[in-house]
Amino acid sequence: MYLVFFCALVVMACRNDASEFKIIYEADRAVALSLDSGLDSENIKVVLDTNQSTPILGAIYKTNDSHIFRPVIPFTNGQKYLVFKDTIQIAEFIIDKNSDENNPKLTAIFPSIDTVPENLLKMYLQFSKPMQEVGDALDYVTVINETTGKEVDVFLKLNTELWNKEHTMLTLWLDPGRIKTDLIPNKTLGLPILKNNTYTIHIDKSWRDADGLSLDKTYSKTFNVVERDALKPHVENWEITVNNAVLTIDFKEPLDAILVKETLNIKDENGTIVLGEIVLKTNETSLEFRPKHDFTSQTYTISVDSKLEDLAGNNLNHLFDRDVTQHTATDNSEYKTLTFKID
Amino acid sequence: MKRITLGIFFIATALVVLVASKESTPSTNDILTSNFIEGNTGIASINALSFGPEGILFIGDSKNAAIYALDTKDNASVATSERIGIGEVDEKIAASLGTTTDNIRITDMAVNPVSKAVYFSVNVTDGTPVILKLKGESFENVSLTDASFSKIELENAIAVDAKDHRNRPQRVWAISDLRYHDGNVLVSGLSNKEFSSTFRSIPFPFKGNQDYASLEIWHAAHGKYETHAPIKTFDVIKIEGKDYLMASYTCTPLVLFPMEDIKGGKHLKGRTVAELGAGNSPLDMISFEKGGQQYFFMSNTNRPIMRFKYETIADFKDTMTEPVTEFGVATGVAYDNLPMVNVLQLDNLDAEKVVYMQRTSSGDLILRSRPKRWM
Repeated sequence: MYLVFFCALVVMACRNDASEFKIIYEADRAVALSLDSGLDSENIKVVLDTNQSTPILGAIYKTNDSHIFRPVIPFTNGQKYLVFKDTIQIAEFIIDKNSDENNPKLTAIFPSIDTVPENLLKMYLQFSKPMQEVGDALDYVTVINETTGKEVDVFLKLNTELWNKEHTMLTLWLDPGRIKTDLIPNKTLGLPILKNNTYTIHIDKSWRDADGLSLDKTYSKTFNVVERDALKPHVENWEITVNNAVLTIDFKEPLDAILVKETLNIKDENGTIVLGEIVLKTNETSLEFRPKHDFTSQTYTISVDSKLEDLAGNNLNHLFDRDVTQHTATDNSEYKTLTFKID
Repeated sequence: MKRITLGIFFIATALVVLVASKESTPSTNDILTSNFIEGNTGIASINALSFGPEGILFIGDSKNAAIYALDTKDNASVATSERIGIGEVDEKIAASLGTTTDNIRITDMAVNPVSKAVYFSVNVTDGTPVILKLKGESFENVSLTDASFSKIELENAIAVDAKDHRNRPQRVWAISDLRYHDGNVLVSGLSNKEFSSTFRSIPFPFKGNQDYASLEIWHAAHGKYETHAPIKTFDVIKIEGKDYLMASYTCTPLVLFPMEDIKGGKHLKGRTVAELGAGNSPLDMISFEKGGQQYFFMSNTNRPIMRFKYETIADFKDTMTEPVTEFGVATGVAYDNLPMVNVLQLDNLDAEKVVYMQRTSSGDLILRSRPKRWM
């Protein structure tokens, strides 16, 4: 494992010999404290300067030339720690804060379009770095109805927030109970966002990343709300243009930015998935697929998982808000397909 | 001398028989942990905890979309727990981890029914997963990097067709609650992509097989519309000899599903037995028996702890279909409000006590035990 040794500020309070203490960094995190091997490691404890009665949990083990104290979690940036041998303080150190140039950024808000239906179901926030894994995301997200001038609650509060594994992308649901007609939240609170109103979402700069650094600035996005989208996406309406190097699909409406990439595959005549890169264009209303190797003369199939949704959560099979007492014919096919031919 | 020799012979024989019987009859723990491996668990996040038998702790890891079984080796049986009364729990946990309260979040609490020890899962800012065990008024670290464990990945956590290695965004399957019941680990959760509620039942010891069902509820607001709302918390209760999943949802329907039907990917409609009022979310559930009656308790974000009698639930044969028209009104099975508010975590401590974590009116986070007779 690659270790970076970094000398911390060490003040020898009660010893005259120049024992060395080092902070060990891994991936820019202060993960351990190295103590002089000449020191007897018995009864050594590390504490916060603000709570000296509680020893910090961790393991002490000996290497060739030193004792290593590895706390259960990395030392905290900006925090001051004291080291005691029995009841005598033998050192103190502060973990440096990272420089400001590493502050995280909000790189995208989806949908990126500035006009959304009043039954908009979800938004995605994409960050440049893994964000903090404590606190409530909604404490940092404010939505103002610019038409009324009032702050409004639109997002569903979940105890288990929907982050991706890297903790760089958060899914926020506009409260589905308020979107579905006649459910209690819908009846008592109404739709989260209303047509003919303008809203601004603010993402506050106090939101910290996994290293404790705040966003580089407060981010805002303004969007207008239009009438509800009560139509399913139909692949038959999609417009396909293709040459050997790039396939373009125009959806004729914005689709869910994350689901598009997950639900769409291009297959060759043998049913083998064609490798390539999908890039969303013009506010997620179209995509470009660039195959790793140029298309060849044959018929290709575009396979789309029916789970693909528009901005209102309507998927290829049914509407998000539907009256199940209406016994209309339901399409439950798992995939929809389109074909294109390369001559 | 002869008597001594004979005595030694008998003792030796007894020891041989004892050792042989021990070898031929492995303990329950040995059987349950026979496929466990030693080493670094690789746990990336902890969303939910639940104890099974023999000190085995089940851990729900959303990041890895997996359930882990950890042998805590905390197997010494204790009948009765000491009384617990600790203030500033979050301050003490933060200090034990060398940080401050704004850098931690206590995500779950579980009591080992064998040792009666209280365990906590803690999230920290940088995502390092932590499990702590309460010892007196201090905390011990439960190692996740040097442990005896087994693991099962949740099926369908990643889209079946997304196998073409195009760096597609990964599906998140966030685990909302987890419980061990009668040889199975039960898991509820929700996806970040489609708004749906999937409930899984995984036999333990893990062998690779798991069962699931998608659960749908009739919302009493209308009786005509369905929702795929995610389960917030659940318990298993026995009514008239039959096991039911008692699931609680945001805003706050309480819904029963027969456990025997949760299999084969079935799509199930539950029976809504209560609407506990809008503007509230359930937090935790426990059940226990006192005075010959079986009770079920639920803590909430914006309401006190609710107490239900199994008997009352059994007597409620209908499913709610009538609209609830007035904000905050609760309807359905009768319950009692206990004088306990802002209870964030709740579990059975021993036969006589519960343990709970509560944010007091002064803002202090406390951990206390309470006699069940006062529940």
